[in-house]
Amino acid sequence: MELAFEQVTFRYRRSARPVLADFSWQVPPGRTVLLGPNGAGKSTLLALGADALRPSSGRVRFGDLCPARGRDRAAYRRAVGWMPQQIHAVPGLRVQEQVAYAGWLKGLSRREAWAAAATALRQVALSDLAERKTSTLSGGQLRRVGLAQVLVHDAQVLLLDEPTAGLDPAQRARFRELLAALPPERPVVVSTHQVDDLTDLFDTVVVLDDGVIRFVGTVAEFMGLAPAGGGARPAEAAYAQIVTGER
Amino acid sequence: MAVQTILRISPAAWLGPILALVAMGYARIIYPATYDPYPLALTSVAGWTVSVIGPTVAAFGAWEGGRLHRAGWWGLPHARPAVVVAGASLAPVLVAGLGALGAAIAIRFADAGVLAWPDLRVVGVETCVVTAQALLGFAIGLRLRPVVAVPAAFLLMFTWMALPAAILPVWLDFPTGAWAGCCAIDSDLAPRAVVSAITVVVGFLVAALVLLRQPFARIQFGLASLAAALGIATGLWLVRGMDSNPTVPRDPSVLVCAPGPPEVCVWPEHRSRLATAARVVAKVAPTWLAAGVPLPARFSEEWSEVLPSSTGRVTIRSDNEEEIVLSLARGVLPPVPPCALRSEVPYFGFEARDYVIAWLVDVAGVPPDRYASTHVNGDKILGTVAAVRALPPDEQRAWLAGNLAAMRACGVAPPLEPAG
Repeated sequence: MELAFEQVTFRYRRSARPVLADFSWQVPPGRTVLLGPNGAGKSTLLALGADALRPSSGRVRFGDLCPARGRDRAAYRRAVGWMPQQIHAVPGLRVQEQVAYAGWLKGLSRREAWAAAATALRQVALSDLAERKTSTLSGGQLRRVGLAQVLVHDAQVLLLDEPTAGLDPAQRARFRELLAALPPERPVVVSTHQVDDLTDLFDTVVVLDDGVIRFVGTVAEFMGLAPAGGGARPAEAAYAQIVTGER
Repeated sequence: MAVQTILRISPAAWLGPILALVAMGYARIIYPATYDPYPLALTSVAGWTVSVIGPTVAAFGAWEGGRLHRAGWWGLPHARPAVVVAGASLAPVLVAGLGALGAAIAIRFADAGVLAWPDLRVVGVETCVVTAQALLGFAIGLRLRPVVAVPAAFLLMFTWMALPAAILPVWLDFPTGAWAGCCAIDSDLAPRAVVSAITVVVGFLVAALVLLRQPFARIQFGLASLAAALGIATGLWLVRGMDSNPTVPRDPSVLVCAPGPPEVCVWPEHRSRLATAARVVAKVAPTWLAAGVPLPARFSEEWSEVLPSSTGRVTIRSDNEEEIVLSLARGVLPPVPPCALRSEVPYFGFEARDYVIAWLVDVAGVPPDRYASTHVNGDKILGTVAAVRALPPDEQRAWLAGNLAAMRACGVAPPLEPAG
C-alpha cells in the first residue's frame, strides 16, 4: 500500500492563494527526502498526509483507506506516523509515559503502548532517559522522543517534518543513524530545507517549490544536475539549479 | 495513562480527598433539619453540593485540557475519538467529583440513620451536571492558557450555580440541578425540573463538543456560548412559573395504611409509626364523634392540595401520642378555601383554627397547653377553650360548627368566644 495525494488543493483560512493546487504525488517506497525552501509547502503536504489538515479538494489515501471517510479515519491515522516540526513535552509526563501516551492515542491498548514505548525508546537510544520528565530534555533529546512517538504504534509509513531542525551536527549525525536503522521496507518521507541532510541514505529525492514538484529522482540523478565544476558543494548547486534555474 | 501516572500528575487526584471532605462538611451544614428518613430528600439536599463540586471539577478539567493545550497535542491526528481522549484525561477529575458527591450523599444518609439507596434520578442528574461541567472546563482549557482557563472555568460554573439561587423568582434555580427545595415527604421531584437540568447539561455538552472540534476557529467560542445559552434558556422556559419548590405530589399508591374507620395512611418511611397512629385514632375518634366532630373517612399523609374532602391530612412525625393527636386534630379541620389566598373578601378561618385545634386536643384528653403554650395568643386560647369546655355539649357543638363554617368559606366570622 502506498500513500497517495490525488489532485489535492489546500489553502489556509484567510489565504487567497492555495499552498497546493491540484497536486498529485505518490510516496515512493524506501526513504525519500523532501527538499524545498521555506514556504514551499513541505509541512503542509506532510500534515495533509497525516490527516492533521484536510484538503479543500481532492483526496489523500493510503491504499484503500481515505481519512475523509469516517469509517477509515482511525485505521488511516494508525497507518501513518507523523512527526511535526515542533515537539513539545506534555507537562508532568516522563519520557516513557509520553511515548506510551502517544501510542495509546494511536489506538494501542495501555499495556501494548507501554511495552511498545520501551521498544521505541530503545530504537532512538533513549532508554536510559525513560524515567526523566520530558520537560527537562534538551531539544535534540526531545526530537528523539518525537521520533519514538512516531515509531511507537508501528506505522506503515513515516512522515518526518524537519526532524533535524535546530540540531547540532553531532545530533544530526545521530539522527541519520536512527533513520538508517529503520526497516527499509517501511516508506519514510523526511522533509528538510537543508541540503546538508541529503545523503546516500535516501532512495529518492523530491524537490518541492511553491507547491509544485520540481524534481523526482535518485540522489545520483539529483547530484547530476550540478553544473560541471560546480565546486565543493554539488548538492547545493543542484538544488539551486532546480529551485532558481541558476547555472 | 497508568493509574500511578495519574496519581502523580493530576491535581484532581491530589485534591480529590479535600473536595470530598468539603462536600461532606457542606452536606452536613446545609438544611440540617431534614426530619424525615426520605431517601429523595436526603439525596437531593446532599446533591446540592454539586454547586461546589461542579465549578471545582470544571477547574480541574481546564487544567487537564491545558496540559494538552500546552503540549500542542490536541491538534494531532489521533486514532482515538476526541471524546475518548477527553474522557481519559478527565477520568481522575470525574472520580474526584463523583467521589465527592457520593461522600456527601453517604454522610447525609449516615447522619439520618437511613440505610437505603439514594434517589437515582437525583444521582443521575448530578452525575450529568458534574460530567458536563468537567468536560466544558476541559474544552475551555484546550483553547485558553491555563492561567486564564482554570479561573475562568471555575468562575463561569460557580456563577451559573450560585447566581440563580440568589435571585428571584425561585424557579430560576431549578435548571442548575441543585435542588435544596426537594423534597418534603409528601412530595416528589418534578419531572419538569429534571428535564430542565438535563437540557442545560445537553447545552453544556454541545458547547464542549464545539470547542473540542478541530481545526479550531474563534467562531467556535461564539457557537459554544450560543449552545450553552440556548440550553439555559430552554431549561428556564421548562420550569417557568413553577412554585417555590421543584416538586409535585408524591404517588399515593405507595402509602401504607391501617384499616379504620377512620383509615390511617402514612408514607413508607413512617411505617414504623403506623401502629401507634392507628391506636391513637381508635382511641380519639369515638371521643371526637361523640363531641360532634365531623371525622374524615381517612387520615393520610398525602399532599393537602390534592386530597379529596373525605380525607384529613396528617403528618406523623414521631411515635409521641400527644403529637399524633395534635396532627389528627389538624387533619380534622377543613382545608383552606381558595378564596383565602385572595384579598377581595376577608377570611377569618386562620384565627379560628387555633381555637378549634386546642379544643379538639382537650376533648381527646391531651392538655391543650401542649398546643397553645407555644402560640402567641396561648393564654387567650386556653381561656377560651376552658370556657367552651364548660358549656353543655350542644353549645360546644354549635361553637364548633360556627368555627368550622368560618374555615370553609370567606367572609364568615367565627364565634371564637362562646356565646353568653
